[in-house]
Amino acid sequence: MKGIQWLEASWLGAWMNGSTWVFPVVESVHLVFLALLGGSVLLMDLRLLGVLDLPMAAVARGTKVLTRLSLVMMIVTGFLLFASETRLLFENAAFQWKIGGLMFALGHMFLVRDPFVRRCESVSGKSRWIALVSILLWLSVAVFGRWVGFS
Amino acid sequence: MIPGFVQFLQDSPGSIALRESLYLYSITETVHVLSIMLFVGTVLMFDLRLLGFSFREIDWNLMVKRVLPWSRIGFVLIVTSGIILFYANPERMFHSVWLRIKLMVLLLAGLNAFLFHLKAHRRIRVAGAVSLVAWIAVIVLGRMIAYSWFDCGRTDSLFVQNVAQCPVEEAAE
Repeated sequence: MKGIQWLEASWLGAWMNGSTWVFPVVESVHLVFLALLGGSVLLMDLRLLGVLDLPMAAVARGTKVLTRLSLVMMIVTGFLLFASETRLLFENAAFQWKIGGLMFALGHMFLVRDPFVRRCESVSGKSRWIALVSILLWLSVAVFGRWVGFS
Repeated sequence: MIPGFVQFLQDSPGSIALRESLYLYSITETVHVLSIMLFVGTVLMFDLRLLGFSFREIDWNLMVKRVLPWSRIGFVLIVTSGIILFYANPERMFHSVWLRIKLMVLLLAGLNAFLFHLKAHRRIRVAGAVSLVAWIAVIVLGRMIAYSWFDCGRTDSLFVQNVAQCPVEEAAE
Protein backbone atom coordinates (compact mmCIF):
# COMPACT_ATOMS: atom_id res chain seq x y z
CA MET A 1 0.00 0.00 0.00
CA LYS A 2 2.68 2.52 1.02
CA GLY A 3 4.84 1.19 -1.79
CA ILE A 4 2.43 2.53 -4.40
CA GLN A 5 1.71 6.01 -3.04
CA TRP A 6 4.84 7.47 -4.56
CA LEU A 7 3.10 7.17 -7.93
CA GLU A 8 0.42 9.74 -7.16
CA ALA A 9 3.08 12.06 -5.72
CA SER A 10 5.35 11.61 -8.73
CA TRP A 11 5.53 13.94 -11.74
CA LEU A 12 3.17 11.57 -13.55
CA GLY A 13 0.48 11.84 -10.89
CA ALA A 14 1.01 15.59 -10.75
CA TRP A 15 0.68 15.86 -14.53
CA MET A 16 -2.55 13.83 -14.52
CA ASN A 17 -4.02 16.08 -11.83
CA GLY A 18 -2.44 19.32 -13.00
CA SER A 19 -5.09 20.47 -15.46
CA THR A 20 -8.82 20.23 -16.00
CA TRP A 21 -8.43 18.54 -19.36
CA VAL A 22 -5.76 15.87 -18.97
CA PHE A 23 -7.83 13.41 -16.94
CA PRO A 24 -10.98 13.58 -19.12
CA VAL A 25 -8.94 13.28 -22.31
CA VAL A 26 -7.02 10.23 -21.05
CA GLU A 27 -10.30 8.72 -19.88
CA SER A 28 -11.87 9.31 -23.31
CA VAL A 29 -8.95 7.58 -25.02
CA HIS A 30 -9.42 4.70 -22.56
CA LEU A 31 -13.09 4.47 -23.67
CA VAL A 32 -12.34 4.67 -27.40
CA PHE A 33 -9.98 1.72 -27.08
CA LEU A 34 -12.61 -0.08 -25.00
CA ALA A 35 -14.70 0.00 -28.16
CA LEU A 36 -11.86 -1.37 -30.27
CA LEU A 37 -10.92 -4.02 -27.71
CA GLY A 38 -14.54 -5.03 -27.16
CA GLY A 39 -15.21 -5.23 -30.89
CA SER A 40 -12.15 -7.27 -31.77
CA VAL A 41 -12.39 -9.68 -28.81
CA LEU A 42 -16.11 -10.13 -29.42
CA LEU A 43 -15.68 -10.82 -33.14
CA MET A 44 -13.28 -13.69 -32.41
CA ASP A 45 -15.48 -15.02 -29.62
CA LEU A 46 -18.65 -14.85 -31.74
CA ARG A 47 -16.79 -16.83 -34.40
CA LEU A 48 -15.79 -19.47 -31.84
CA LEU A 49 -19.37 -19.57 -30.58
CA GLY A 50 -20.50 -20.41 -34.09
CA VAL A 51 -22.78 -17.39 -34.50
CA LEU A 52 -20.59 -15.45 -36.93
CA ASP A 53 -20.26 -17.08 -40.33
CA LEU A 54 -16.88 -15.78 -41.47
CA PRO A 55 -13.62 -17.70 -42.15
CA MET A 56 -12.01 -18.60 -38.79
CA ALA A 57 -8.42 -17.93 -39.87
CA ALA A 58 -9.27 -14.55 -41.40
CA VAL A 59 -11.10 -13.42 -38.27
CA ALA A 60 -8.20 -14.61 -36.11
CA ARG A 61 -5.63 -12.77 -38.22
CA GLY A 62 -7.67 -9.59 -38.44
CA THR A 63 -8.60 -9.34 -34.78
CA LYS A 64 -5.17 -10.26 -33.37
CA VAL A 65 -3.43 -6.99 -34.15
CA LEU A 66 -6.47 -4.88 -33.18
CA THR A 67 -6.85 -6.68 -29.86
CA ARG A 68 -3.17 -6.28 -29.04
CA LEU A 69 -3.04 -2.63 -30.04
CA SER A 70 -6.10 -1.77 -27.96
CA LEU A 71 -4.81 -3.80 -25.01
CA VAL A 72 -1.58 -1.79 -25.02
CA MET A 73 -3.48 1.49 -25.28
CA MET A 74 -5.94 0.54 -22.53
CA ILE A 75 -3.17 -0.51 -20.18
CA VAL A 76 -1.16 2.68 -20.83
CA THR A 77 -4.16 4.99 -20.36
CA GLY A 78 -5.39 2.85 -17.46
CA PHE A 79 -2.02 3.22 -15.75
CA LEU A 80 -2.19 7.00 -16.21
CA LEU A 81 -5.68 7.08 -14.68
CA PHE A 82 -4.39 4.93 -11.83
CA ALA A 83 -1.50 7.34 -11.27
CA SER A 84 -3.91 10.21 -10.74
CA GLU A 85 -5.73 8.56 -7.85
CA THR A 86 -3.42 5.80 -6.69
CA ARG A 87 -4.44 5.68 -3.05
CA LEU A 88 -8.17 5.91 -3.64
CA LEU A 89 -8.13 3.23 -6.33
CA PHE A 90 -5.82 0.91 -4.42
CA GLU A 91 -8.39 0.68 -1.66
CA ASN A 92 -11.39 0.54 -4.00
CA ALA A 93 -13.05 -2.91 -4.04
CA ALA A 94 -14.39 -2.54 -7.59
CA PHE A 95 -10.88 -1.65 -8.79
CA GLN A 96 -9.38 -4.69 -7.05
CA TRP A 97 -11.97 -6.94 -8.66
CA LYS A 98 -11.33 -5.32 -12.00
CA ILE A 99 -7.59 -5.99 -11.85
CA GLY A 100 -8.26 -9.55 -10.66
CA GLY A 101 -10.68 -10.11 -13.54
CA LEU A 102 -8.19 -8.57 -15.96
CA MET A 103 -5.49 -11.06 -14.92
CA PHE A 104 -7.86 -13.97 -15.56
CA ALA A 105 -9.05 -12.47 -18.86
CA LEU A 106 -5.47 -11.96 -20.09
CA GLY A 107 -4.45 -15.43 -18.90
CA HIS A 108 -7.42 -16.99 -20.65
CA MET A 109 -6.72 -15.08 -23.85
CA PHE A 110 -3.00 -15.76 -24.17
CA LEU A 111 -2.77 -19.22 -22.56
CA VAL A 112 -6.07 -20.80 -23.60
CA ARG A 113 -8.04 -19.03 -26.31
CA ASP A 114 -5.38 -17.86 -28.77
CA PRO A 115 -3.34 -21.12 -28.70
CA PHE A 116 -6.65 -22.95 -29.24
CA VAL A 117 -7.61 -20.71 -32.18
CA ARG A 118 -4.32 -21.51 -33.89
CA ARG A 119 -5.24 -25.19 -34.24
CA CYS A 120 -8.99 -24.78 -34.42
CA GLU A 121 -10.80 -24.96 -37.74
CA SER A 122 -14.39 -25.53 -36.82
CA VAL A 123 -16.82 -24.79 -34.04
CA SER A 124 -17.06 -27.42 -31.31
CA GLY A 125 -18.33 -27.69 -27.76
CA LYS A 126 -14.84 -26.77 -26.60
CA SER A 127 -14.61 -23.67 -28.79
CA ARG A 128 -17.99 -22.52 -27.46
CA TRP A 129 -16.89 -22.87 -23.85
CA ILE A 130 -13.66 -21.01 -24.51
CA ALA A 131 -15.55 -18.14 -26.18
CA LEU A 132 -18.17 -17.99 -23.45
CA VAL A 133 -15.53 -17.79 -20.70
CA SER A 134 -13.71 -15.09 -22.67
CA ILE A 135 -16.87 -12.99 -23.08
CA LEU A 136 -17.81 -13.33 -19.41
CA LEU A 137 -14.31 -12.48 -18.18
CA TRP A 138 -13.98 -9.35 -20.34
CA LEU A 139 -17.52 -8.32 -19.50
CA SER A 140 -16.70 -8.53 -15.80
CA VAL A 141 -13.58 -6.38 -16.30
CA ALA A 142 -15.70 -3.74 -18.04
CA VAL A 143 -18.50 -3.86 -15.43
CA PHE A 144 -16.07 -3.56 -12.51
CA GLY A 145 -14.29 -0.81 -14.40
CA ARG A 146 -17.51 1.19 -14.72
CA TRP A 147 -18.28 0.47 -11.09
CA VAL A 148 -14.98 2.01 -9.98
CA GLY A 149 -16.54 5.37 -10.81
CA PHE A 150 -19.66 4.69 -8.74
CA SER A 151 -17.94 3.60 -5.54
CA MET B 1 -42.88 24.60 -25.71
CA ILE B 2 -39.93 22.19 -25.64
CA PRO B 3 -38.63 23.57 -22.31
CA GLY B 4 -42.13 23.02 -20.94
CA PHE B 5 -42.05 19.41 -22.04
CA VAL B 6 -38.57 19.01 -20.53
CA GLN B 7 -39.91 20.44 -17.28
CA PHE B 8 -42.82 17.98 -17.43
CA LEU B 9 -40.39 15.08 -17.88
CA GLN B 10 -38.19 16.39 -15.08
CA ASP B 11 -41.13 16.41 -12.65
CA SER B 12 -42.61 13.07 -13.74
CA PRO B 13 -42.50 10.29 -11.11
CA GLY B 14 -40.47 7.91 -13.30
CA SER B 15 -37.75 10.49 -13.84
CA ILE B 16 -37.57 11.33 -10.14
CA ALA B 17 -37.45 7.63 -9.21
CA LEU B 18 -34.60 7.03 -11.68
CA ARG B 19 -32.57 10.02 -10.42
CA GLU B 20 -32.97 9.01 -6.84
CA SER B 21 -32.59 5.27 -7.35
CA LEU B 22 -29.68 3.52 -5.68
CA TYR B 23 -28.83 1.11 -8.47
CA LEU B 24 -31.17 1.53 -11.43
CA TYR B 25 -29.40 4.62 -12.75
CA SER B 26 -25.94 3.08 -12.34
CA ILE B 27 -27.05 -0.14 -14.03
CA THR B 28 -28.50 1.80 -16.98
CA GLU B 29 -25.29 3.75 -17.33
CA THR B 30 -23.26 0.53 -17.20
CA VAL B 31 -25.41 -0.98 -19.95
CA HIS B 32 -24.93 2.20 -22.00
CA VAL B 33 -21.12 2.16 -21.64
CA LEU B 34 -20.81 -1.60 -22.17
CA SER B 35 -22.96 -1.45 -25.29
CA ILE B 36 -20.14 0.64 -26.79
CA MET B 37 -18.23 -2.64 -27.17
CA LEU B 38 -21.03 -4.39 -29.05
CA PHE B 39 -22.20 -1.41 -31.09
CA VAL B 40 -19.22 0.86 -31.78
CA GLY B 41 -16.84 -2.10 -31.46
CA THR B 42 -18.41 -4.07 -34.28
CA VAL B 43 -18.97 -0.93 -36.38
CA LEU B 44 -15.25 -0.13 -36.05
CA MET B 45 -14.38 -3.65 -37.27
CA PHE B 46 -16.47 -2.94 -40.36
CA ASP B 47 -15.01 0.56 -40.85
CA LEU B 48 -11.47 -0.78 -40.63
CA ARG B 49 -12.41 -3.31 -43.33
CA LEU B 50 -13.82 -0.55 -45.56
CA LEU B 51 -10.60 1.39 -45.03
CA GLY B 52 -8.64 -1.69 -46.07
CA PHE B 53 -6.78 -1.69 -42.78
CA SER B 54 -8.09 -5.01 -41.42
CA PHE B 55 -9.80 -8.21 -42.63
CA ARG B 56 -8.72 -7.63 -46.21
CA GLU B 57 -9.19 -11.36 -46.97
CA ILE B 58 -12.90 -11.03 -46.20
CA ASP B 59 -15.24 -9.50 -48.78
CA TRP B 60 -16.77 -6.38 -47.25
CA ASN B 61 -20.21 -7.29 -48.63
CA LEU B 62 -20.01 -10.41 -46.49
CA MET B 63 -19.09 -8.27 -43.47
CA VAL B 64 -22.26 -6.22 -44.08
CA LYS B 65 -24.33 -9.41 -43.82
CA ARG B 66 -22.48 -11.06 -40.96
CA VAL B 67 -21.12 -8.31 -38.72
CA LEU B 68 -23.66 -5.48 -38.98
CA PRO B 69 -26.59 -7.52 -37.52
CA TRP B 70 -24.57 -7.58 -34.28
CA SER B 71 -24.09 -3.82 -34.50
CA ARG B 72 -27.84 -3.43 -34.81
CA ILE B 73 -28.43 -5.33 -31.56
CA GLY B 74 -25.86 -3.09 -29.89
CA PHE B 75 -27.53 -0.02 -31.40
CA VAL B 76 -30.91 -0.92 -29.89
CA LEU B 77 -29.27 -1.46 -26.48
CA ILE B 78 -27.26 1.75 -26.54
CA VAL B 79 -30.10 3.97 -27.80
CA THR B 80 -32.60 2.53 -25.32
CA SER B 81 -30.27 2.98 -22.35
CA GLY B 82 -29.35 6.44 -23.68
CA ILE B 83 -32.99 7.52 -23.75
CA ILE B 84 -33.45 6.25 -20.19
CA LEU B 85 -30.36 8.22 -19.11
CA PHE B 86 -31.83 11.35 -20.70
CA TYR B 87 -35.13 10.69 -18.94
CA ALA B 88 -33.33 10.42 -15.59
CA ASN B 89 -32.02 14.02 -15.91
CA PRO B 90 -34.08 15.76 -18.61
CA GLU B 91 -33.23 19.33 -17.66
CA ARG B 92 -29.50 18.88 -17.34
CA MET B 93 -29.35 16.73 -20.50
CA PHE B 94 -31.46 19.15 -22.54
CA HIS B 95 -29.07 21.98 -21.67
CA SER B 96 -25.91 19.92 -22.05
CA VAL B 97 -23.73 21.47 -24.71
CA TRP B 98 -21.86 18.15 -25.08
CA LEU B 99 -25.05 16.17 -25.69
CA ARG B 100 -26.14 18.69 -28.31
CA ILE B 101 -22.87 18.37 -30.23
CA LYS B 102 -22.95 14.60 -29.73
CA LEU B 103 -26.41 14.36 -31.31
CA MET B 104 -25.22 16.43 -34.29
CA VAL B 105 -22.30 14.07 -34.87
CA LEU B 106 -24.67 11.12 -34.36
CA LEU B 107 -26.85 12.56 -37.12
CA LEU B 108 -23.81 12.84 -39.38
CA ALA B 109 -22.86 9.22 -38.65
CA GLY B 110 -26.43 8.15 -39.38
CA LEU B 111 -26.53 10.07 -42.66
CA ASN B 112 -23.19 8.53 -43.65
CA ALA B 113 -24.50 5.02 -42.93
CA PHE B 114 -27.72 5.78 -44.82
CA LEU B 115 -25.82 6.99 -47.90
CA PHE B 116 -23.55 3.96 -47.67
CA HIS B 117 -26.47 1.55 -47.76
CA LEU B 118 -27.96 3.45 -50.68
CA LYS B 119 -24.63 2.69 -52.35
CA ALA B 120 -24.24 6.40 -52.95
CA HIS B 121 -20.60 6.46 -51.92
CA ARG B 122 -18.15 6.50 -54.81
CA ARG B 123 -15.41 5.33 -52.51
CA ILE B 124 -16.19 3.02 -49.63
CA ARG B 125 -13.04 4.23 -47.91
CA VAL B 126 -14.63 7.64 -47.42
CA ALA B 127 -17.67 6.02 -45.81
CA GLY B 128 -15.39 4.00 -43.52
CA ALA B 129 -13.30 7.02 -42.55
CA VAL B 130 -16.31 9.25 -41.80
CA SER B 131 -17.92 6.50 -39.74
CA LEU B 132 -14.71 5.78 -37.79
CA VAL B 133 -14.08 9.43 -36.93
CA ALA B 134 -17.74 10.15 -36.14
CA TRP B 135 -18.18 7.24 -33.74
CA ILE B 136 -14.93 8.02 -31.93
CA ALA B 137 -16.14 11.62 -31.56
CA VAL B 138 -19.49 10.38 -30.24
CA ILE B 139 -17.71 8.34 -27.53
CA VAL B 140 -15.54 11.28 -26.46
CA LEU B 141 -18.43 13.78 -26.50
CA GLY B 142 -20.58 11.33 -24.56
CA ARG B 143 -17.91 10.95 -21.90
CA MET B 144 -17.70 14.73 -21.55
CA ILE B 145 -21.41 15.00 -20.69
CA ALA B 146 -20.56 13.69 -17.22
CA TYR B 147 -18.32 16.71 -16.50
CA SER B 148 -20.09 19.79 -15.27
CA TRP B 149 -17.69 22.53 -16.44
CA PHE B 150 -20.07 23.81 -19.08
CA ASP B 151 -23.34 23.27 -17.23
CA CYS B 152 -25.69 26.23 -17.25
CA GLY B 153 -24.87 28.41 -14.25
CA ARG B 154 -21.29 27.17 -14.12
CA THR B 155 -19.79 28.75 -17.19
CA ASP B 156 -19.57 32.37 -18.27
CA SER B 157 -18.97 31.43 -21.91
CA LEU B 158 -21.66 33.16 -23.94
CA PHE B 159 -21.10 30.70 -26.78
CA VAL B 160 -21.90 27.74 -24.53
CA GLN B 161 -24.86 29.52 -22.95
CA ASN B 162 -26.30 30.20 -26.40
CA VAL B 163 -25.68 26.72 -27.80
CA ALA B 164 -27.11 25.14 -24.65
CA GLN B 165 -30.00 27.66 -24.51
CA CYS B 166 -29.42 28.26 -20.81
CA PRO B 167 -32.38 29.77 -18.97
CA VAL B 168 -31.50 33.44 -18.44
CA GLU B 169 -31.77 33.50 -14.67
CA GLU B 170 -29.34 30.61 -14.36
CA ALA B 171 -26.53 32.20 -16.34
CA ALA B 172 -23.42 32.86 -14.28
CA GLU B 173 -22.77 36.51 -13.39
